[in-house]
Amino acid sequence: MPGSPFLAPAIRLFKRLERKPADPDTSTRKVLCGSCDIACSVVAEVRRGRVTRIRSSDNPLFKDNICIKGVVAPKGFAHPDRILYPMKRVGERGSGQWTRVSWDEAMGEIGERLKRVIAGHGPEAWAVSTSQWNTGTDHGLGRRVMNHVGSPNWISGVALCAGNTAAINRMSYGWYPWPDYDNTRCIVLFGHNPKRDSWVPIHNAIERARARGARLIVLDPRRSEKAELADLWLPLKVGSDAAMCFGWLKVIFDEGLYDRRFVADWTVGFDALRARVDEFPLDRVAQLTGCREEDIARAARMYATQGPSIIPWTPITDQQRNSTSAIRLQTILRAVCGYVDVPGGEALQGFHPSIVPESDIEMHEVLSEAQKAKQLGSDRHPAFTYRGQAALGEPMKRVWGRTYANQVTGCYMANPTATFRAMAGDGPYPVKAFFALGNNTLLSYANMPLILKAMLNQDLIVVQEHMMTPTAQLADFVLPGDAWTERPWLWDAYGWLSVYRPSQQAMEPPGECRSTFEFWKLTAAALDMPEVVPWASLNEFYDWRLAKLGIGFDEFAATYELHAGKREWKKYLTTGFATPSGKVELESSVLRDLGFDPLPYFREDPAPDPDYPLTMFTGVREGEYFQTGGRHIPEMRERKPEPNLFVSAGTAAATQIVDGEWVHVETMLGRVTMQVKVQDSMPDGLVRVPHGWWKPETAQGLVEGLSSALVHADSMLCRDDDDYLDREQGIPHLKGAPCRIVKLTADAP
Amino acid sequence: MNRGEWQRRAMAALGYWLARRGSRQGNVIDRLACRVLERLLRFDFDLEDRVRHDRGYDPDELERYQRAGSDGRK
Ligand code: SF4
Repeated sequence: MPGSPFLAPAIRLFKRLERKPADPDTSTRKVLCGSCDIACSVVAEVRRGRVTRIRSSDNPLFKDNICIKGVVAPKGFAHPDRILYPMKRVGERGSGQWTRVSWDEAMGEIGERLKRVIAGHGPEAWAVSTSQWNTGTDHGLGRRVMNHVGSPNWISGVALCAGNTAAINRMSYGWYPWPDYDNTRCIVLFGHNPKRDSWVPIHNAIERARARGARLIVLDPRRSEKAELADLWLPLKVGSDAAMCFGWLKVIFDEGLYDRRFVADWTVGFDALRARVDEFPLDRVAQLTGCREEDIARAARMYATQGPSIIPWTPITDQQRNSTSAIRLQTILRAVCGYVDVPGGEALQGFHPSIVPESDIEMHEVLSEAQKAKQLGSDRHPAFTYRGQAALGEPMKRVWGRTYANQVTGCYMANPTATFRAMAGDGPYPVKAFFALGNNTLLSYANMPLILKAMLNQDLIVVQEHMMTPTAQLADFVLPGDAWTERPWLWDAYGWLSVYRPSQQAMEPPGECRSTFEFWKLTAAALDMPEVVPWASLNEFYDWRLAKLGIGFDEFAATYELHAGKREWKKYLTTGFATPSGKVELESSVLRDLGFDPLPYFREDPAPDPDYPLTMFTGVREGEYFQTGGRHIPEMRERKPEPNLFVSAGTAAATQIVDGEWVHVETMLGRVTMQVKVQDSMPDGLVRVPHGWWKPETAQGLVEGLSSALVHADSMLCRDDDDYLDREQGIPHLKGAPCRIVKLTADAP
Repeated sequence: MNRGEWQRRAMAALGYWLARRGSRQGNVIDRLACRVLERLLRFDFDLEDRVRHDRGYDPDELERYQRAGSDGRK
């Protein structure tokens, strides 16, 4: 993320990307790549009305922020099977029989059927799942329409990826900070492995930081690309992040390496925390994490003494049965070492002073308390629900100016598992209408058998997509969505930073593809509330958001690569922190009032099951694909044609499997088929399973296996029973569940 | 505030100012800030060759692909 670049001497070995277009008739547009969620600033070259090339930005701030997924995007969006027109199901659900309809027909019938569900079961019977990164132009409008209708049941993949981290961070210090890569002196990666084909801006920021001497500590069970480069690599046991943090705190407290003044002035609960940390002597931590005591101590000292240090967001800690405690422990490490809201540490930026944030667009205040109380999952796993965040409302208003200050869209969500149970008929009330926007729901959460049952129990399913995903195959209506080259876009860094970046429309959308903005505008009209989305177009909506700056979107996009608010450090000195106590809550009053342990803890694994002797690490993103998308792009499939699981040579020998062999991976929930890759970097006993596999070229329809999703998708394996759910958030344990590998008798699937 | 922190703050403030100005196409100061950033941020990132040497697609090729059908033969 472009922030404040470190003013170090230049590095001279400098290879240039070819910027001269192949054809003199080429025009260029500044765009943000939406092929993953980090939104690189890139340039689209346009020839004869088509985007023909994506290259990196001309602005030095974003130099070389680009990867292969961005480069092949024009081909992906031109795919012959892209959904170009609205379609309505005519056969049985999942039969693959469709008829083309107009947008007017589709939205008219969707409105009528949704109204019938609401009249019969209440507004809470309508659930929506979206991954806003893919649809891009939702901008909180989905929440806004739902809040006016009266449904709190909005879910998203951010429940187990950054959104949940945001919600938990706020319990400690009232905001979710962004790490200051540009000025830090030590970077700690808990399993996250940004590289040249994944989260490239962060990979580049780490490379630049290392080049100017910043230290790198990597905690990862396998020797990842980043582990190879690290000053210190701790091959911790999968799922033991919380235990490792306890070990670091033990060293930091025992050796007095913490910021005593900050702790005394700005934290509450230190003594109780210290007593809890004392339950984790290094020999116990070594046993829980599988790392050597001296390495744990070295890493803790490096973090505490070589700083300011950062612990950037990691999807790995997000997806563990101790996720809440582990995320809290990371917040506590940042705080006690004095790294919160200082240059080189973790910046609490708040809202941009002049641009309307998505938090305001969502209008959570119009949803009644009675409807908020019905949010699914908030009874047992409230952390990121309205109930879990309610105590932060007043402090948010005091410090950040808004009672409902959403970050990474993850702070007022329903719990996905509870929502699917209700959809399947096993909840406190029925959920009978389901919308999925740019979200391949079946493959995006744990327990696909439950999600399938849930979807088959719906009266209405609406999907907006680019391709006929397994989820779309089960819909009543499939609506064509536009892509990031085909619309303007105002990117708000997910409310994580007070930075906005514009993207110019580079070409017309094909067929009848429309933006998510238009989808929500039409939905509001179909529900007889057009005033809820009053703007005539996406551009007009952006003009309204930018009005305080005194310019419209077109001028904004032409003038700025980014627009940032003022950067101030240690704002807490004047405002306090946005927590109930106004201080960093090492002992969380929010968690205590919700009935949980206010201190972090470590829940050990259930007793080993001899039938499932291996440990599975799933949710693995491959560089060629983002989440469940991209497998239709020929260049990407050539590089990664099949779902490959990774094991060590030792595990392969013990299981009697060889590289290239097709096998089943089984858990107590289900089974998938994958091809074995033996890798030196893997530890014995661990199986890395890639995320989100389906094959768009294979037969569609439920009977046919939903384009191979039922054969390959990791969500078939991921359990969501209590032993494998984080208690406070109710998110699944994807890092360290038991599994086994079974040889296939036949060849490839 | 100790000397180290003061220095970091000053560098961060300067860097932030440069980033804000250098990301704007406005007046001469903005363009100057961009040039300064260009020099300061010179770095050889390890882009893969396929990305570094990519020249994009031919519009006719994309058109044909779009019309062809998923098996590429229609
Ligand atoms: S890392 Fe790649 S896919 Fe992600 S935004 Fe950047 S160019 Fe696009």
